[in-house]
Amino acid sequence: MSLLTRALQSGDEYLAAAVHPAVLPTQRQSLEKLLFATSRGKRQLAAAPYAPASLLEALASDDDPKVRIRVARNPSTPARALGRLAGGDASTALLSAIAAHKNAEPAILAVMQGMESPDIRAALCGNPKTPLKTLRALLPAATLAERKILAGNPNADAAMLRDLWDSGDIYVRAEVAAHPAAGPGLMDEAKRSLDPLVRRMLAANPAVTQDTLVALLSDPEAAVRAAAVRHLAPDDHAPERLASDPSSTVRRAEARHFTLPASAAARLAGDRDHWVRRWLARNPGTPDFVLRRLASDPESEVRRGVGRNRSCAVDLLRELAQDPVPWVRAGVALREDAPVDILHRLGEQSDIDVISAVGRNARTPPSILERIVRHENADVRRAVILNKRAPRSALEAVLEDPYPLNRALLARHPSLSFADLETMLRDPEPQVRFTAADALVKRPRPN
Amino acid sequence: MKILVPVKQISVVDEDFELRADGKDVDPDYLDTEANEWDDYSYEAALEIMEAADGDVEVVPVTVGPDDAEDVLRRCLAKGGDRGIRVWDDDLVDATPAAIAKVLAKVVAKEQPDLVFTGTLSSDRSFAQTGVSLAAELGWPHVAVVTGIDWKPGDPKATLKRELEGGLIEEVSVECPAVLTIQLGINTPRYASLRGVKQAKEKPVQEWSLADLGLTGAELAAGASFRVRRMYKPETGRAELIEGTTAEQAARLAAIINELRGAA
Amino acid sequence: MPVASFQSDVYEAAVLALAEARKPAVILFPHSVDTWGYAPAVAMRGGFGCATDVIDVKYDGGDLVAVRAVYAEKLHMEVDFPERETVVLTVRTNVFKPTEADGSPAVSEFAAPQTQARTEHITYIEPEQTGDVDISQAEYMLSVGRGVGEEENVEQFKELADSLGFTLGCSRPIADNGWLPKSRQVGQSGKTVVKCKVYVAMGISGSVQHMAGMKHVPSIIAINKDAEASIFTIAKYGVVGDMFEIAEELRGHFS
Ligand SMILES: Cc1cc2nc3c(=O)[nH]c(=O)nc-3n(C[C@H](O)[C@H](O)[C@H](O)COP(=O)(O)OP(=O)(O)OC[C@H]3O[C@@H](n4cnc5c(N)ncnc54)[C@H](O)[C@@H]3O)c2cc1C
Repeated sequence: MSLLTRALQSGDEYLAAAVHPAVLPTQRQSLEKLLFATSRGKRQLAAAPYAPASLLEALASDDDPKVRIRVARNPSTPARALGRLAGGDASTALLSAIAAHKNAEPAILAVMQGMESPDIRAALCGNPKTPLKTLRALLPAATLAERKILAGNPNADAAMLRDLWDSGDIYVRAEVAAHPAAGPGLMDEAKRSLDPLVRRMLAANPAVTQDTLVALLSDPEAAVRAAAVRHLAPDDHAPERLASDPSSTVRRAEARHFTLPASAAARLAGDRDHWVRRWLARNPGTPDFVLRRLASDPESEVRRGVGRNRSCAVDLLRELAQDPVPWVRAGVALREDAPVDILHRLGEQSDIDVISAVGRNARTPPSILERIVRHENADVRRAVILNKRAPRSALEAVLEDPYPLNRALLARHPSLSFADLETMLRDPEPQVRFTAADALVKRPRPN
Repeated sequence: MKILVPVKQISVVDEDFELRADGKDVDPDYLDTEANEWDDYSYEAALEIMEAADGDVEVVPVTVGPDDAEDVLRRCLAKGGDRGIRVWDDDLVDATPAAIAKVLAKVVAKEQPDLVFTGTLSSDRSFAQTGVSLAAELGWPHVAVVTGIDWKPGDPKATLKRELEGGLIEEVSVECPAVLTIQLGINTPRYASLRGVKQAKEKPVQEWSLADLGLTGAELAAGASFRVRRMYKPETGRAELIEGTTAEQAARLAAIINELRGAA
Repeated sequence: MPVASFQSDVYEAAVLALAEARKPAVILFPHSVDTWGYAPAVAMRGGFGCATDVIDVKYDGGDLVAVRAVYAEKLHMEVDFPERETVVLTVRTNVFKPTEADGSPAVSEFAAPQTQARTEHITYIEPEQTGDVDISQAEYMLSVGRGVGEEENVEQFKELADSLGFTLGCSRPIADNGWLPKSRQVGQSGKTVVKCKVYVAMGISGSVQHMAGMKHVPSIIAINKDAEASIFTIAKYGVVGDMFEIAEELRGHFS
C-alpha cells in the first residue's frame, strides 16, 4: 500500500502531514481535506515545528487570520509562502512577523520600508535579509533604539555606520566598532576611544587590522587585552607576557589561543585559576608535554578537558580511561579515536555517563552496542539509538522500546529497514508515526 | 486488597486562545487534553505496591470525565490493572473539586478500597483540593504531598514520607483505610510497553452516571464550593524584553541578576 | 525545624470548633504544604466556600471575590461564594505585601477540642547532601540548550555559570550528546529544579518537556535568538539575541 493511500485510509493526520510534500499537487488536496478539517487542527499545524514547507505554503492562503499569523511566525515557512502572506490582507502583526522572518526575500522587506509601525520598523532594522537601500531609508527617522539595531545589521555600509557613530550613544558606537564594514577611519576613532567598551568591541571586529589588534594587546584595560588575544588569528603568536598578566580574564583568553608559545603554556599549566588550566587543557595547540602535566591536574574538569582535546595522545587517553572520576572517563569513551580495547572496558562500567558515551561512539563495535542497547536505563539505550553508525542488529532490541521518545528518535535511524519503518507507522505515539512516515518519504525506495 | 487511583484528563490552553462566550472558561476549541502529570506518579505508586504483593492487591483507576477522558484510563491500564471506572454526567461540566470529591466518595463506597491515591494537584486548575476533600467526605484519615509509601496488604497503618517546605522530610504513619495525595518525584513512572497499549484496549471500563451513584446534578451544584465569575488574561503575561545592543542588554541583565540574587 | 508536628485531624477539629463558635466570614490560610493537607477538609466538613492558591481578594458590593491563576498561570480566574457564610481561602505566599502598621487585635483564648489523631509523627529527616551537584537543590541556575551548537562551546557557559555562582544545567539534547552529565538535565525526563529562584535559559526553545522541570521558577530569564521561542511565554525577562555575544558581555560584569 502506498503511504498516500495508507494516510487517507487510516485518516492519520500525522501520516498525512509527512506524506504531503512528496505527492502531486492534485493528491495534496485530498490530504488537505483531512488535515485542514478543523480550525484547531489548522492552527496546530501552522505552528508545528515539524510542519513541512509544502503544508505551510498551503496554509498561507487560509482564511483564518490566526492560522496565517502562525504560519508567518513559523521559522520553517518558506519565502514563497511569506510572499503570499504579505500580498494578502495583512495585519500589522502579520507584517511584523514577516519583517522579522529569516526566510523573507529582500524584495518583500523592501516593500515594507515606508511603514510606520514601530514593530515592523524594528524587525526590518534587525533582519539580516533587509537590503542596504531599505536600511538607508529607515535611518533618517530612526529612534535611538532603532539605531542600535541598525548598527548590528550585517548589511549596513560604512556611510550608514558613520552616521550612526556620529549620532549614537556609547552603545551604538560600540556596535559600530564591532561592525566589519566600519572602515579604517571609524576603526581608528574607535581605537582612540576613551571608552573601554568601544575598544573591546573593536577588538572583536573580524575586519580589524593586525596592527590595531597588537596595539590593543597592550591596552590598560584587562577586558580589552583579553578580547584582543581572543581575536588574534589562530596562527598569530600570542605574546608570552600575557601568560603572566595580572588579570585572570586575560590569562584565560591566552590559554585558549591556538598558537601559544610553549613556555607560556608551561607557565599557564601551573596557574592557580582553574579556568586557565581548563581552557589550556581544551586547547588543541597546547603542547604534548603540557597536556601530560594537565592530565594529572587535581581538578577533574581539567583532566576531562585533556581527554576531549583532539591533540591528546593515545597513551594519555589510556591513562585517562582509568581516571577515578566517571565524567573524565566518559570524555574518553566519547572519542572516536579511542582504542577498541578501551571502549570494551568502559562499556562494561556502571556509570551511565560512561556507558552512554560508549553507546554513542561511532567506532564502538556492534557486539558492545548490542549489549548496551539492552540497558535498563532509557537514556543509555537512547545513546545507541542516537549513534548513526549503529547497525540494525544493535537496534533490534529497541524497536519496541517502551519509552516513546526513544522510538521517535529511532525512527530517524538510517540503519532501520523499510519493514521496521512500516511497522512504526502503527505506533500509538503520533510523533513516532510522523517520523517513520517522514523517513519513508525521504528514503529512496529499493527496487 | 484494593487501591483506587482517581486520575484526571486535564486541559492545556493553546497560544492566542479565545474565551468561551460566557467568559467563564477558555473556548474548548483552544484546549488540548492531556493526562495529569501527578497521576502518573500516583498510579505508579499503586502498581509498585501491587507488584510487590504478588497478586494480593488490585489497582483500579477511576476518572470523572467525558467520553474522551477514557484515554487517561487506557493509559493507566496499559501499564497495569485489569479494569477502570469512568463516571460522567453533563451536569459535571463545571464541577468544583468539592463536587468531584462527592462523586468519588460514592465510588469509594461501592468499591471499598483499602487505600485511595490521588495526585497532589492537577496542573490545569491547580486546586490541590480533590484528594483531601474526598477524605473529608469519607471521614477517612489522609496525608497530603506524600513522597514515600511503605505499606503492604494487611498492614493496619502505612508509613509515609511527606516533603515540607525547604526540602525537610517528615516521616508519619496513617491508619488505613486512608486517602493519600501523591507528589511528583515519589517514584519513576514507567512507560507502557507497546503490548500493554494494545492489551489495554480490551480491558473493561465501567461507566457510571450520577444516577448510578445515587447523586443528582442539583445536589452537587448546591454543594459547589465556589462559583466562577470570569476568566481573563492577566496583564503580566509575557516576558519583559530587554532592549538595546548586546552590551547594553548584558549590562541590564547583570543588574537584574545581582538584584534578584541580593533580594533572595 | 517545626516545633510541634502537624496532625490534620487535630488541626481540622480545632479550626472547625473555632469557626462554629465565632462564625467568621473568612478563614485565611497560607498556601503551604500543611494547609494543602487540611484546609480543603475544613471547608468540606464545615460546608464552607473554598478557594486555594489565591493571589488577590476583594469585595464586589457584598460579595467576596477571590482571584487565582489557572492553566499554567496563563489565565486568571475570579470566583465568588454565593450563599456561603464562611469561606476558606489559602493565599499564595509572597504576593501580599505585609502592612507597615501594626493592628490591635483583641486576643482571646479558645480551648481546642480533644481529638484523636489518626496520623502519627515519627521523625524528621534532613535532605541528603550528595557529593555530586544536585541541580534539584540549586537556587540559581544557568542552563544551555541546543543553541550552544557544539561541545567546544559548552565550556564558556560553564565558565560563565561559575563566575555568576550559578549551577549549570542543560536541555536533553546536550546531555544526550554527552556534553554534560545526565544529572544536569532539566525537565520531564531529567530533574525538576524545585529549589530554583533564578533560572537563566540560554539557547533553549522551551519545549513542554523542558519547561516541565523549570516553569515554576519565579524568575526565569530567557536568552534566545528567536523572538517566537516558547521559552519567552514563561520568562520574566527576555533577551532576543545571540547567546554567545550575551555570554561574552555578561562575563565581563562578573569577573
Ligand atoms: C518523552 C520526552 C521527554 C523529554 N524530556 C526532556 C527533558 O527532560 N528535558 C529537555 O530539555 N527535553 C526533553 N525532551 C526533549 C524536548 O522535546 C526538546 O527536544 C528539547 O527540550 C529541545 O532542547 P533545546 O531547547 O535545547 O533545543 P531546540 O528546541 O533545538 O532549541 C534550541 C534553541 O536555541 C536557539 N538558538 C540557537 N542558536 C542560538 C544562539 N546562538 N543564541 C541564542 N539562541 C540560539 C534557537 O532559537 C532555539 O530556540 C523530551 C522529549 C520527549 C518526547
